Amino acid sequence: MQIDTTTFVLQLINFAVLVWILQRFLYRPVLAAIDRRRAAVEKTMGDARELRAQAERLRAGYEAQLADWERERVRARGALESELATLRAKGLADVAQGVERERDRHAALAAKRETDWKRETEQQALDQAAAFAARLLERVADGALDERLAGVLAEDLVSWPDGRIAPLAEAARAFGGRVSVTSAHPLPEAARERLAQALAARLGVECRPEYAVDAMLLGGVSVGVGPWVLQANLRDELRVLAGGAAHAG
Amino acid sequence: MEPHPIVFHLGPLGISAAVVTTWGIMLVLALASLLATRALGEHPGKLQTVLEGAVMAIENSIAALFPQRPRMLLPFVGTLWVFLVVANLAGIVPGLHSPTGDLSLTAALAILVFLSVHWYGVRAAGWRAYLRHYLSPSPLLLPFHLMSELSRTVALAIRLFGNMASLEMAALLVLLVAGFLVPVPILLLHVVEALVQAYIFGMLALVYIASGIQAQKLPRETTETST
Repeated sequence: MQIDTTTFVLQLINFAVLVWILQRFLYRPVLAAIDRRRAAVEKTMGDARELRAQAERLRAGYEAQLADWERERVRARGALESELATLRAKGLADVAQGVERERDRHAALAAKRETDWKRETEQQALDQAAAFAARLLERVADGALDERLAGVLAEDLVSWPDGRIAPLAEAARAFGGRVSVTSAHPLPEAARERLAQALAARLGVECRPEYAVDAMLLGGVSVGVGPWVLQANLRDELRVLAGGAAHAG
Repeated sequence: MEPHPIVFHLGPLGISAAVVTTWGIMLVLALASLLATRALGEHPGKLQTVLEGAVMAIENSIAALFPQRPRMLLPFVGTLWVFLVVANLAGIVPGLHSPTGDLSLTAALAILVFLSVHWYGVRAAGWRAYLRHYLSPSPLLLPFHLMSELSRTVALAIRLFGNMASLEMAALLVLLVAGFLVPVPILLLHVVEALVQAYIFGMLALVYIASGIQAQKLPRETTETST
């Protein structure tokens, strides 16, 4: 256990040289490689952080855009609901008006049907009454009734105003005084004479009556002057009765 | 324990076997470093991974005690660990003796540690600040500081020398007494002991250097804070 000076000094030098050798050929290259890798890793981490920051910014942008879209959606939905409410109200009003119109139309139809029914019923009643009266008068009418009605016609001609007589007179002149006289029964000569005189006096022309019998008249006469026909018989009176009642109804 | 014999003379200098073994170790380490670091790349292979792992383990161990500038101490402390591991394990190679079984080598390393403590301490804060820490907390403690410096340096040299020399001697005695194959467990113990002693020596050196830097640095930081 002793220290050799030469060995001691040489070992000092040896270790110092070994420190230099290892520093030069081991530590420095290895540490440089580690530093390069750390720098690369740090750069990668920096890039990743930058990418992350970009992604965060993008996400924030997207979230802001989504928020804008959401607000726009809510606003559009509100506008849509408002518009729908307006349309619904308008539609309901239209439907109500349509229902009201339909109700009025149905009421009018019902009233018209009722009126038509009443008129038809009255017409049927009048027709039946006319038919009944016609059957009754057919049994009770005779030549005397025709004569009286011809007299009534002669009396009425006198009372008619000139304005009403003028076209008859013109027609009589146009047909040369030819007048057709139709009665339900053969008229007596006196009745014929009186009717011809009344016509000639009122029409102002010489009349040439042509007599005929038509049982359908039931009773009374029908005088034709050209296109004009003067009715004084039961058939036409009953018609006037039925038609006038229907017209009045 | 016999001193290492002189193998040859280089002029007036007698070169001992320990020196020759040390040269051999230096040559092996230099060649291995040169070859291993020849093709370091961005994508490390197995060898580069092992190398980087070893260097980073050394750096992390230094940073645990001296986190300010671990790379400043890495060459010296790292070389201590690497050299002592290889030198201690050289004893299990047939025909070789551990150079660390030579007190001249361990004393040289202890002196280097002693000098490096002061070198790094002065380098960190200058002569005045470094020498002032010997007078703190009281000038009365200066003899104890000096005694501590001396004793820990001697202990550093003797501890390594004693352990490695005694280990080889124990293996030799067991081989003489028990015969062939029996010293194998002793050789395994040699491996463990070699690693442990290398770690202890390097760690103590690191502790001494770090404490030498921080002992004179802490008061200054306190003074700066107070001003």
